[in-house]
Amino acid sequence: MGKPLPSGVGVCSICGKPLNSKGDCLVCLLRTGFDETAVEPNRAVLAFGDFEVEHHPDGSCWELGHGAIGVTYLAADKVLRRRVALKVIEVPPAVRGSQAVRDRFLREARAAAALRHPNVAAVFQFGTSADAIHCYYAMELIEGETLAARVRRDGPLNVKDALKIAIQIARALMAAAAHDLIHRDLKPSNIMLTAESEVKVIDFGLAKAITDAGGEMDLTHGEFVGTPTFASPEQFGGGPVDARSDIYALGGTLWFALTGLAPHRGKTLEEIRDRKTRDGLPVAQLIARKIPDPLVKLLRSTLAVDPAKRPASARELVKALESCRRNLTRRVGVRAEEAALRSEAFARALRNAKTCVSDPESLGALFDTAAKKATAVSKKPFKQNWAYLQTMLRLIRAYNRGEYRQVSDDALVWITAALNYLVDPFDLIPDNTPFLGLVDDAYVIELVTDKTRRTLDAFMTWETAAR
Amino acid sequence: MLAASRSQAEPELAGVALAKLCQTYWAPLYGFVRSRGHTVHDAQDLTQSFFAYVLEHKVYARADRQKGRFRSFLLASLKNFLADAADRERTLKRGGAQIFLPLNEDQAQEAESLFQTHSGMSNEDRLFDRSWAEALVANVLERLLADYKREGKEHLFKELRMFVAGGAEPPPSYAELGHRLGIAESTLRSHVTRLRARYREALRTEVRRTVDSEAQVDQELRELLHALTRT
Repeated sequence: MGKPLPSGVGVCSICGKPLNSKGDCLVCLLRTGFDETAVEPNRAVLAFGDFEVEHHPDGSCWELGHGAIGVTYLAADKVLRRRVALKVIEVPPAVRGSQAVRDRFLREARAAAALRHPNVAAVFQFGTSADAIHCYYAMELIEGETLAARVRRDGPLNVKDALKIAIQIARALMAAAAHDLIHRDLKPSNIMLTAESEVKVIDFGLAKAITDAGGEMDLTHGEFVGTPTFASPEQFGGGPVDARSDIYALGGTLWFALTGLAPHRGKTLEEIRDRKTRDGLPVAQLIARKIPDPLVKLLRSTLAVDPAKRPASARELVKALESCRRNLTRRVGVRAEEAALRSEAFARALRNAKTCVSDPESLGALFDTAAKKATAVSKKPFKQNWAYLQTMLRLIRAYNRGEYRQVSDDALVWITAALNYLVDPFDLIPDNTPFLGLVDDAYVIELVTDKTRRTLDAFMTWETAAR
Repeated sequence: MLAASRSQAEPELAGVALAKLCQTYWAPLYGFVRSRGHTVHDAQDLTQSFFAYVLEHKVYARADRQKGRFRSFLLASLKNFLADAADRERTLKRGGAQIFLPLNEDQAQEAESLFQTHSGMSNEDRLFDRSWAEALVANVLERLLADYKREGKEHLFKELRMFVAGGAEPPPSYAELGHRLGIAESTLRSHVTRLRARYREALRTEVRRTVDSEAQVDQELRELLHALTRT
């Protein structure tokens, strides 16, 4: 009797501990039992150093998040009068008196505080409560949502958006490397996305510095701290942890952004570890999402079990990610542009341009008509726009080559106006239009806009110099 | 040592309370017996007769008050009971033991599943503590669900349960869930706060029934947590 139940149905999303057969987290269930006062010595005002935790109208403390090792509160900096995110961590009793742990926390905290980068949530201050039970640090308050929440809400991201995020994370890691800082718990829920889609990596190194019992292993009392799903194989105790662990975690995070799934999942810590070290990557998930080959290849190397086979540094990873992004753009845009340039309309426009040089107005109009006709070869709006723009630029370049230089300044005005006409609509396209629903289109447009501006600048410089 | 056993004025009531406690923690005891290598049926019989023995002989009255914890007391008693060959022999014959606790099939099956889930653990005491924690929180959640049901808020309990019990999926944001449930974010927030407070209260009350003082509630929770988190 008694059909055996599975040993668990997953890992708790909050504390990372295995769930029981009912899908509940016993650890969270027991932790909730601690009297609030035990965790918050002063219910009326919970204060750490210069910071006071803010309250909801119902009197409860304003939690921004809570994880396996601590709680992040919305707090007020009483001195500088600004709001911060305050992470409060209970120091494990076993290491409370340890000088080595204190030194390590200080070292990491100093490094984290010194790390100033647009893609890293700044750490303002850190300290220890008077009773030495809690460590805390105040971070820049980021208005936005985590990558985990974004993917949960909207589903997997398109390649362009995912790469844009990954590149920013990699840049954050690059900056961290300059301070000898390792994150050690990089995961989608530690990536904040602002309303402007800027990436801010939170919790750099600090949390782990406190809870790791002074050793190199990411374990506390032999137990994994945090979420093992995105951790590198060596973080499970198999070897020294360095910047390449973060690179592995970034690979997992990017995979998650692209597929909505972690590359290796498991019901227990052991299962996750075994899958990471023994099983191959479920590349079929990437293929199903039509992820371009170069990116699949990069993810494979980033998620290599052997750290030596991963990109050696964040700098190398940034380069590789940017190369993927460039490939993507070329792949999407070139065909439409070539089709437009091969078209009869383009050739005719070039021929006719020479005859219209004395009339700037008709030159502009000619360019416009020619480009429109040339781009009619593609049915997809973004490709038309791309091709239109490129065609226009080619026409202008031909103009630049000298044959039409006698044209008055008005020609320049007209051409500029034509270009502005092109540039502005791109700038104005809101992200949520169906137009951008096509994978990678938005990125193409972003590049087109940028390129147009630069070309226009170059053109104007040239024109000015020529005159 | 127990609220139940202390109630001298109402011995029958105390007996009932104890019987209820024993019922709640039947599964961890059963699991421990199973981990000693007994078959399913033998383990059921032994567990039943152990509880019968506890209740019949008022073993709890002899418990060391300083020790203070029902969990450790029961485990120690069970170990003694199992070590006592005569007791075991007597039980297995199923003659003398009066079954005090109704054992239903579901409960027995659940206990066996629980045992199977944790049977990989090398340390039988840890297995016991873990199963005990399972039984404890399951009982509390069940009671809380019953309370919410009574108030006609069963649906709310089920939707917010994850804020207490965790789960594989991260809890949704208040804004998101509020939207789905059609209630204001601030209202939802206070529902969650209230649920957590009620759960905390219920859990602590339940633990309080198995320890000697309020201060020991934290200690007991900490010990159980430790049993769950060490490898």
